[in-house]
Amino acid sequence: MQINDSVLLPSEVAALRLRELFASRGYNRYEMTKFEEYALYAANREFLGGADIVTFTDSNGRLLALRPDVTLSVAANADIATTSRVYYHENVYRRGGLAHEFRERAQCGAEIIGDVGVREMSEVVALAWNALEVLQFQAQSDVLLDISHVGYVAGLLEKYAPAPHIAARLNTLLSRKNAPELTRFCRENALPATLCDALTALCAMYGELSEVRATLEKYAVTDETRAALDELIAVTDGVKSLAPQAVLRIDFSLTQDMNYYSGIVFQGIATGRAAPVMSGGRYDGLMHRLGKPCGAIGFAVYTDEVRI
Amino acid sequence: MINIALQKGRIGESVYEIFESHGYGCDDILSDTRRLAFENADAGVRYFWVKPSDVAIYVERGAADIGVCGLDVLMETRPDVYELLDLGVGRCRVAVAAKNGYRDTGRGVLRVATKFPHIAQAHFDTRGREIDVIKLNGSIELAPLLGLSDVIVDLVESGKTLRENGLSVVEEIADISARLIANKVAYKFLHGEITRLVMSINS
Repeated sequence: MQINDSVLLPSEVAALRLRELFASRGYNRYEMTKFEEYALYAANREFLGGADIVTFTDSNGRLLALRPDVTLSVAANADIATTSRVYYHENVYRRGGLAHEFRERAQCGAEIIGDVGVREMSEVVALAWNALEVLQFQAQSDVLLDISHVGYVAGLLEKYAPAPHIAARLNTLLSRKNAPELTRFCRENALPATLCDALTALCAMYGELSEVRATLEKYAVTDETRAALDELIAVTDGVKSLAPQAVLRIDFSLTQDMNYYSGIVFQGIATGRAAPVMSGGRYDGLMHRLGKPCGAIGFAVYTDEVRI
Repeated sequence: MINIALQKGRIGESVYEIFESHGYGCDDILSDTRRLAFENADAGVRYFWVKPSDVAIYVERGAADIGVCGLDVLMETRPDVYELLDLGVGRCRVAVAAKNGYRDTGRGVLRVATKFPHIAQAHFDTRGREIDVIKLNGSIELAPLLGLSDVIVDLVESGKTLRENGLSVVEEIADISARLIANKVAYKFLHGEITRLVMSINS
């Protein structure tokens, strides 16, 4: 059956192109029901960034949720005996906005779950770049892929800032690139100058690996930060060989909940959109919490954000 | 081209003068009082005058790439933006104030009149004090005088307005100054321009 392209919305065309891309790379379609047990989401609320879930009771009195997220469900249902590659295209439902209204948003994403090493990470990040290229074409805008490694900052904080509430505050300030407040906070709490210098340098840092590598090398003083940096370099190299045209910018203001994310995290941004159009990362932490000790990495594209 | 949101009024004007002294000036911007948008293509800047409490919204939503607003606005609206610089102008404090001689007995629910419901709530949450927030949009000092509230949470600059109304500061919450903020996406696409501007002003 032929469909005339003109009847499709830009967001629909983008979503179809993304599905085509994922399927052509050997990813299998993951489908799920709209209604799911609330318990799974309630137990992992922070994974959803504390988002409000739309709930209701079914005729048997069970509390159900209108699915707020796909990754959680993919993770919960994954068979970890083998490494699987899946993609999805679903609507998700959350409450949001000033009036706390219900919202429906399309998400299209891909995940690898199982044995995840540098090769798989590079594959997913390169695929994320290819997905951004689809959006770039669809929305006629420039795109960038920002990438970070949560292990690097976690390593720094572990070495120098023992109290969790201090580490949390430093993380927030870094995510806001708030160097002046960071300096003040370090001084007030008598934190070591090395930590203060490192975090202030990370605040100001944004660019391709070659531009920021010297800064990162300088503060990679613990085993954990060193390992994180090595992995970041390996993945960046891996992406360059899979997608030589990819523009990857290192941005350590990109932080994620460390209970779920461990390792590479990334996001896609596009001109004309005030918020990211894609976000992803390595979420072994979530798998462990679900009782599945294995690796997992993936990303979601917010296709509704595609506008012409 | 960098789009810059500045707050209307005295503080916004002194912030503009800082930008101007670093080569980001715009003709007529201070003399033409009705126009809201001004552009200097050579310097690569376009300014908007907006209501102080709206600066953060313009920046968060990407209508402006960067902006300058008080820390009070950031604390109140918690926009998802980068906070790049403390410009050190527009200094004042957010404080709890009440009628001279007032002491909180700790009994019952404390009635707090304020323009800043989130700041007030967050402050009293840290002490575990239950409060009833009364959101007002101006003349906050009147509330305790009329018995509308027990205390107020408001900006205090010299303390003159408080004194003239028989009020005094009970407790300080935060030191406020003007902050340069940036939209998280614009910061990246205009990284060179914004970094140049920030470095120049910070030097």
